[in-house]
Amino acid sequence: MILELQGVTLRFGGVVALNDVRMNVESNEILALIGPNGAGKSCILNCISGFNVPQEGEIRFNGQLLRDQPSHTRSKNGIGRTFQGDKLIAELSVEDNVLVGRHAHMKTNVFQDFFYWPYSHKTKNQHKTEVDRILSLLDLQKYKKIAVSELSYGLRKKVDLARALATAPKILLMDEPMAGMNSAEKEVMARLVTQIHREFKIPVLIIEHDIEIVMNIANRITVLDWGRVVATGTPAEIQKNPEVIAAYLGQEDQ
Amino acid sequence: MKNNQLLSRAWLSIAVILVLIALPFFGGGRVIGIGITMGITMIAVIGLQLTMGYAGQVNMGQSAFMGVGAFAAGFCVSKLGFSAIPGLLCAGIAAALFGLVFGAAAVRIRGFYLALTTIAAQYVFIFIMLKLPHSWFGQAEGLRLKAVGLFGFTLNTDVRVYFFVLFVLVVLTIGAYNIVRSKTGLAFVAIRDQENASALLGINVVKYKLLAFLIGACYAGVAGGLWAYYVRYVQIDQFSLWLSIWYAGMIIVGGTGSILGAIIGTFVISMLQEALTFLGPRLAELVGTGSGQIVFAGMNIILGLAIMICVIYARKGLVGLLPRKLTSE
Amino acid sequence: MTTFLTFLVNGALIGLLYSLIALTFIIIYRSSRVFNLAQGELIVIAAFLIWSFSDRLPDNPFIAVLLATLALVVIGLIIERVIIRPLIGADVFSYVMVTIGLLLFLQGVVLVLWGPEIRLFPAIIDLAGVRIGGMVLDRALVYGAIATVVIATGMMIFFNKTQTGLEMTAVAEGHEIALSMGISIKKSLAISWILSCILSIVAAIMFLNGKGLSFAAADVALVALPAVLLAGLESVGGVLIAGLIIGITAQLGSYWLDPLVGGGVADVLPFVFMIIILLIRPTGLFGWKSVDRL
Repeated sequence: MILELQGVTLRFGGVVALNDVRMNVESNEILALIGPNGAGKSCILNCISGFNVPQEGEIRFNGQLLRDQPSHTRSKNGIGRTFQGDKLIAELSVEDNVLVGRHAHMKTNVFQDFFYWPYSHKTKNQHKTEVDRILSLLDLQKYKKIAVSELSYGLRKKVDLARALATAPKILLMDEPMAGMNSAEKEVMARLVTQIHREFKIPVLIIEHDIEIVMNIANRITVLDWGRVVATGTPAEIQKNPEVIAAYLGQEDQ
Repeated sequence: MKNNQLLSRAWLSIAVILVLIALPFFGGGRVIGIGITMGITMIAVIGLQLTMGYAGQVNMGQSAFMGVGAFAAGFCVSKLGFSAIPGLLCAGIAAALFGLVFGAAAVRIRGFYLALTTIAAQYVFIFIMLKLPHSWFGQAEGLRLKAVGLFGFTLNTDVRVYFFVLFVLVVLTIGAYNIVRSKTGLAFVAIRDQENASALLGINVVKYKLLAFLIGACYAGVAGGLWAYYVRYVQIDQFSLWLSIWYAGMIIVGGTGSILGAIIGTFVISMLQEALTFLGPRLAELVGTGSGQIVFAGMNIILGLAIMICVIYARKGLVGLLPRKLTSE
Repeated sequence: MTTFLTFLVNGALIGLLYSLIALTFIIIYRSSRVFNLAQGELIVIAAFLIWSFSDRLPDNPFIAVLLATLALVVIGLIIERVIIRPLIGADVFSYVMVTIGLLLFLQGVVLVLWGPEIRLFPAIIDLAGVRIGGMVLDRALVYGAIATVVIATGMMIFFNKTQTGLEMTAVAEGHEIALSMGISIKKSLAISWILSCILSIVAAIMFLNGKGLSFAAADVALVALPAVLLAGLESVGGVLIAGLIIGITAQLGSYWLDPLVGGGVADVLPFVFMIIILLIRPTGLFGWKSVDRL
């Protein structure tokens, strides 16, 4: 397994957001994380990313303990991520937004930048080429120079994904990438997720509410409720699990 | 930016520089004096633009950084006999170190609280400068310099100072543009608009906040050094909180987040100040207060209004009013 | 010993003056989430208004104060409507710069209307000092200190126990929440500005009673900022303690350190203190902590 959480507990003051969470992600799978609102799904992603620090428990990535690593180091080491909502830089173009993802891999320092040394120029062009590759993969080439603020929500989520891919991740964390989309857009995104998983050969940990999509694309599912893991298994197993039905799927039927 | 756009921008810039080089031969002493002061202010304001406009770190202490640079350069030149460029290096480094201290605070303290911290630091700076040994920085009396030397010449005429300032301004402006277009510039904007997400995308937020203050302070320090060379008298009253506020005002009026905005803002506000100084005596009669006061009061009223109007109604400042072709970076 | 005690007590009195000034900032922030850096200028305007009215009505100081209060409230409400209202919900940079712009503007206006000369602020409170023990204390400061404690306590009760006050607290916590509960934000804003203006009048009297008044008096508000920060921008309760700490520290620091560095410690120590506090607790000592959301 490439990612492992053991006994992770996260508290905010008196509120227990995550309670002794134990889960893992295999290196060749798409794992979906589902559960009711407020169950703590985003908190798990935030703990893996380093945005929140759990009071108890261990998180291991590629065998390495993530305890003291700051967020930007985790990103550099391969933990890539998309965000809930819109976390793009509105006034910048699609190209520049995705270029932000290349930051950790750009090797110039500020002095070189000041003089725009030929080295700076060459480096920037190298990374722009990589950005181009990702943009054409996601069919965003025609929007390359357009400011992100002028794009539709669906396109912006695609740019978010492109940016995550630009960080050259070894695992992709996705926080409700399909929220706020219509079914056509969801189809496109779902297909992209599986395509990326196949072509980049990276595992995906995805938080998603749409059960149909989850059942279709996930290899395994982990169910969270009130900060605790309720069940883990294949889609078929989860569907039949009585606790899960009671906690989550049952509500979907209503 | 397409190549021909880049080229036409370059030609325009060269044309402007040529005009500026020719200026002393057509204008009089007053014009040269205005040019020097404006050039020095522009350097400080461009630095502030990098810290505040691009990296989004509020800094109400830019004039304190300038003061550090001025005193450092003054000390190096008058007590240690440095020449112009080593003096400026000292000024820049001294101010940058100061800036680093602020940057460290900015890592923990955000937004509004940071603004207040920088205001507080201005006062602390003034206090420290007044209390340090007299032989160091002259306390309340300040430092006096002889004209500083540069490659065998002495910068003892306004014209010579003008060209030196112009040279430094051009170098630092090009450098600023380069930073803005680079990895550093992109990181700054990312931190400004999406600080939390940026950290998770691989940007070392701490490092870049420090860098933002360091660079901005360095620019201010160099501006301070040039000021010391021009006026040849460095005194703590020259670096007040009001000056810091004026610098921030210039950025707002010119356009936040744009180097050109910093330049335009400085130019417009400085010209306004000259106009007011010129009209001073006439206005003073009208209102019945002293002429010096009316300039200060008038500037405050105008600048205050301009800032309020710009922030509420014209977010992109004067730069936002220009056609896009000239201003896209 | 008497000298030490005098410094201590004066520190407390001056500290409570800072608390009062800090309150004028905090009340505005609570209702609008906008920190009005120009608040200090309002205190100066309050002072000049009192001076102008007293000049015309030398025998009726209280009417003069009343008229000044009315005038200031009108000015305050105009500022609220035209400048602060558009800023609600705006980012920090925006309202910091707009209120700084307002600060510059008001400074300029004060200078043009009243000129740079130093005027004599009327002695609305008797100039004779208050004698306690071996100390002679400034009567205005003493009355003001008592008033501050009463006002602050009153505010705490108001915001925590009365209907209107609780509504205003809801507005302070979040405008969307308040709106969803049907609370009028406009009413909250108006009330807080009226309160703030009244407090500014009291602060002006307390600070300047019988002393020289010039446009530079606005600096006093800046020195009160450390008290605001120490208390936390929303905390009415913490402001008394914060003011006392700042005032006493400043005066004691002055007592011990002035001889060593040649004076000026009382003015700078609050700022040093503030920086240290912010480094330890970036949102003030008693302020509400906001949770960072991703």
